[in-house]
Amino acid sequence: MKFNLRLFSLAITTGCMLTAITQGCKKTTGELGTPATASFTVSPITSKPNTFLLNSNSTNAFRYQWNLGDGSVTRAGNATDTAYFPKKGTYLVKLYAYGRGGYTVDSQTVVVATDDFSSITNNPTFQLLTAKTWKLDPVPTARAVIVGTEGNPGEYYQGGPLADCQITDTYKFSFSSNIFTLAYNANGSTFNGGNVQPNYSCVADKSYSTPFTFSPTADGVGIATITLPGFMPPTRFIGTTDITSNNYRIISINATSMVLRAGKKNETVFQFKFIAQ
Amino acid sequence: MKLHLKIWLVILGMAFCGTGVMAQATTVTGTITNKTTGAPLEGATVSVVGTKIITTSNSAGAFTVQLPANRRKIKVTYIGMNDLELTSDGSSQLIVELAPRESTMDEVVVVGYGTQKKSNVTGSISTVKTKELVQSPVGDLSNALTGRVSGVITKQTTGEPGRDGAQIFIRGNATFGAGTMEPLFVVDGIVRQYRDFSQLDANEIESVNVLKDASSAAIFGVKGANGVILVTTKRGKAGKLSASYSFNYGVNKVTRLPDNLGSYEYGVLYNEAKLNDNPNATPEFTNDRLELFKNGTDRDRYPNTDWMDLVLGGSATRMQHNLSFNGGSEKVKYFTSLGYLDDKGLYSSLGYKRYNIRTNLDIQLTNSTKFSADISGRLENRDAPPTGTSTIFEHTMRNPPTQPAIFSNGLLAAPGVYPNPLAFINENNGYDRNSDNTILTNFQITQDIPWVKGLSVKGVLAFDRNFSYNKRWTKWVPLYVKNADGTFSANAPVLSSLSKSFGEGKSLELQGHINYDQRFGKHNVSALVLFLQKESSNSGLYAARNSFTSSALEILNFGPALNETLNDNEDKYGLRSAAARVNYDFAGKYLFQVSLRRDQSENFAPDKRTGYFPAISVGWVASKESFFQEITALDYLKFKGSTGQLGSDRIPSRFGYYNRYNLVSNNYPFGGTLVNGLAPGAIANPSLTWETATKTDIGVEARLWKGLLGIDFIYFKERREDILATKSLSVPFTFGGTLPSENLGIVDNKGFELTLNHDNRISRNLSYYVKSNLTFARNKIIEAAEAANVPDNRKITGRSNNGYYGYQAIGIFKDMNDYINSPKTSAFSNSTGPGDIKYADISGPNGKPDGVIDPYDITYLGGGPLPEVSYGITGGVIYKNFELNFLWQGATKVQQLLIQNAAWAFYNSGRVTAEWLNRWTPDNPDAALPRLSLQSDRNNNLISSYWVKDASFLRLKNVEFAYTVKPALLTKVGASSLRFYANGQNLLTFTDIKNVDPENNNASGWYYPQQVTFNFGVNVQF
Repeated sequence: MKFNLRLFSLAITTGCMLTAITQGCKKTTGELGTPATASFTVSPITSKPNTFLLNSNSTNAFRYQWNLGDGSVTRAGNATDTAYFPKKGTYLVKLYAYGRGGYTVDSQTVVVATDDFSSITNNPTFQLLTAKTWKLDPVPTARAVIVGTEGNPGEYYQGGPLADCQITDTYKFSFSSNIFTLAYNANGSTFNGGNVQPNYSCVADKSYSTPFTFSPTADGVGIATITLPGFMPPTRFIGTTDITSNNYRIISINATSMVLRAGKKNETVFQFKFIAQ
Repeated sequence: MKLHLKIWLVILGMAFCGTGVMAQATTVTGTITNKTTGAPLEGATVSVVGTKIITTSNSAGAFTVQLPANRRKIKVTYIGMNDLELTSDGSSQLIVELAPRESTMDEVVVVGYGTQKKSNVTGSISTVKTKELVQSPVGDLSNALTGRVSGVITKQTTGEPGRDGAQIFIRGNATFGAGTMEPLFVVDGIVRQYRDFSQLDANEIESVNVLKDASSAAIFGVKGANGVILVTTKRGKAGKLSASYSFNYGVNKVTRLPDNLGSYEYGVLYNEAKLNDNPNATPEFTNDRLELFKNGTDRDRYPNTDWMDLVLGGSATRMQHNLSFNGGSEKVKYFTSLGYLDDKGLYSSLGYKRYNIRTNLDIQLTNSTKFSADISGRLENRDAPPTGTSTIFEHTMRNPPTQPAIFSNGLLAAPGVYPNPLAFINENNGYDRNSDNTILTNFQITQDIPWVKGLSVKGVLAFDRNFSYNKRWTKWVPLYVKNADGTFSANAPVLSSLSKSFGEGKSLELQGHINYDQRFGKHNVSALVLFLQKESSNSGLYAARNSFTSSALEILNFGPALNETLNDNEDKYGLRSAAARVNYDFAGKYLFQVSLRRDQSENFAPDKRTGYFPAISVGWVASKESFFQEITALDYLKFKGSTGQLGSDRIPSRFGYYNRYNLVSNNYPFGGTLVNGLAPGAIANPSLTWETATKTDIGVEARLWKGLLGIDFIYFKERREDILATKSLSVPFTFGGTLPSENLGIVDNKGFELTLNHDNRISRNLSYYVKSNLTFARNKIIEAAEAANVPDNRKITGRSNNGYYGYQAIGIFKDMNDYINSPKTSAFSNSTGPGDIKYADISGPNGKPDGVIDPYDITYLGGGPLPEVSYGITGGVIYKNFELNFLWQGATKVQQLLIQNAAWAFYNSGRVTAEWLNRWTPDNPDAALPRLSLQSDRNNNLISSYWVKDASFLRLKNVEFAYTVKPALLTKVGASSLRFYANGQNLLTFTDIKNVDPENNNASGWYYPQQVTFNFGVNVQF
């Protein structure tokens, strides 16, 4: 009994001291967990043109980011996602798979054989735009041309009656054989804007035909954007020759009328009111 | 080290002198022990019968006495023990075993302004003796009290040398707001400051008595409500000179360092957090970078910095020397002690040195006149970095591992946007030098009145003086960045700044005592009448200049006068009191004590200044009744009870009875120059008065089976009234003035103390003891002058003082389903989601749960950072010359709120601790911690029960292992006792709380941590 007690106390205390000393020295490093291993397959979706099924079979992942390789930014997505490429080409699609131990990246090459404009041709705005031939609204009080700023498009010029040669101008947007074409017909005479001498008068016919692009989005007010290749007034223009940009935003459109605004939101804007011919 | 050598030389010199003198005489040595427990008896008187030769035993119970040729008889006496006479048989080694008198209850206990036999004490007093105090290798005495006795709750919130004192709460917390719970410290009958107690050298102290109940503290009246700590210093004993030298050398380390994640883990979690905040974001740390952090090939560019380890990872030494002399004749007795403490910090710019001196002199002037002169002093020198502790540790706790601290070539790094704490603690950063010099005196003269037996008068004069000095010099430490081409460039220099301050204080206390102590048959009467007057004054001067263009001269004159600061302060305090106390007992069986104190405190208006504090206590020593005598197992049984009133006039702001005006510097333009002005402060409250504590104690003390079991149980109750509080929202905002504090608050504090003792001697050579104490104290705010519209769940009334309030966390949103179906925090509806903390919907604008988490759901989360239960278990085994003592100490029912870098990941772009590895992710829905985020003002950062941690802990507070060399071996070198020991403090800590010490008090973790101490020492006596 006596002996046990002594031994016991001694053992406890020695043990304690030793633990104290060793505990002070050790430093634990925790476990992060397993890093995700990124891996995925790409397969075309036959029912939709130029659309692919991205199917991650990554392990240990709980977060996924896809980069389509088409110049767009990496964005968050799901383990199973879709990619759509309107234009033909070769794309390097990347998957960032994130797990508790970090991330890895996998990539696959996707070859898109043909362009696909179905998203544009199916766009209701585009359909309204190409359905009719457009001309400036000839009614004198319609204020078919106004000039101003994004916030107040009539700030500089509130509009007035059109010149006779303007009334006869027509614009035809069309799409065939995968080509977007804008045909401008001056019907004999084009009205010079402030940038062509003699200015503000009806002179030579500047009729043209040009490709254009259509985007179903607009930077600033509007529902869609039409872009002519390059900024080349007075040879390429819509409405007047002295527009400030090759960007035209469709502000509103229906079967019979369209409001089109030339100029970016931080530039002087020219707003035109068209009616269907 | 030099000092150490010198002391040794002195000791060696004395040793040789000693042997020279003793050569002609028969020298007898021996040890005196308690026959029942085997414990050595210190201070037993050994006299040679028929001579005037007298000596006392040392702490190991050893003594040496010289016998004249014709004398052989020795008499040994000790308080509470039967006297013993024995004859030396010529062998020089005597074993003296004293049997305790029928109980140890005749031991004398120091009470306020007097002493009492322990058996007659009716109040609640706990005692810690010098032996226990010196067992703790600590610099600050307050830490030596921890866990030793019941009713004393300590909290050591930091381990910084020179500032590592514990907060002491006697029986918990009974006030709120700005009121203090600091007990009163009384050293040899004079009220002193906390540091006058805590910076004492333990070797100077005979005992520390803690007065806890109303009757024992009542004599301190308006100062006594928080309990009293009475220190009695050692006094000289008649006999030959006895010298004692002790040396301690210890090594300190941090009790617990947080487990911070390294750069690689940090980077991986950073990416996760960033993407949690914005799923479209790109990872901050690419895999290539992470790999470089992991493989460690270029630590200058890809560091893996453990900031805590760099600042706190080392060890520091603590060295103590004490040399004391004790002796004298019957007429003049002296005790002199010299102490030295060198407590180094964990970084070289930090350190504390203390020199203690004390001389206690007792002179018997005539047969009826005693005079004593106690002079003590201390010099304290503390060197610290000029940057404040909290700033150093803010960044030490915060900085992420991915930033460099120091480059491979030794240059200090500029860690991006983060300050470098290594620069703060670098000696080139400057210094903050403090020196405090204190001298305390205490002169007492006692005159017995010859014609009235038992009557004496005493006059006391205590005069203290202290001087403090501070100089703080801050200098630029160049920090470097490593350029792409491998060169280093330094950051822009910062101009130096300097501040200097001087302070001085003095106080004078005068006391007059009339004492009466007489026995009439079985009636014992003692009485005390006390008059006391105290005046103290302090004055200080502070001056500072910054933007020194040159750092060559660290003198104020060399700094530009622009933006200089100059401050002066002066204050004065006064107190006048009178008190009376009467003790009566009948045959030591029925005990009564009545006392009354009258105080005048200048903190209050003249007509509110005077207060009376009465107390009464009774006791019944039942074991002295004849009908108890038959129960042989029961040695002693006492029932006791006390009640009384005490005050606390230590209020945060004095002169509240005047309308006050605050000085506004340079704010009013007159004629183009700005001049000083006055702005009205709080309006006057002429009826301001002290806090009044009404305390009641009921207790029982019992000793059974000849000391095998001792029980001491006390139930206590306190109601503290007149606590200062301000009525909130009771006047319209158009009122304009600030309402004063009023004596409105009430707090109840109740609990019990239990002490169990067990002493046993198994054989002549082996004995052991176990003592345990437990204190439970729970307080409740009864009245706090809260506005009527405070919702019930946020009211402090009816709840524990200093409790935590916040949201009630009920887990983590496991998944989207859980998230959608649970109430959410309205303020963060855009940023919450699965993985965030889920809170309980407790209430709403209509007082009912409303499906939304908003401030209506803030509620009481628990009692806060002061433990309701604290306990200590001490024990020891003595086997022959070996001795092992230990102290386990713990606390429970205690919480700690941890926020910011102490708890959160990435707070303020800061570190991540290891527990965050178990964070929520979709594939770990049952995680302990929520999902990661780089933001820190979100749903998960609300103050909630999630961050209120259980701070219960159990500590191996102290272990001592000692070996005493046999006196027989020592006489040859002239020493009477030699004791070697190894001891340690805070050796083991068991707690659930992470990253900080369980006694930490800083929610952000900005503190210098508590220390583990491993100490070795030797004590030699001559």
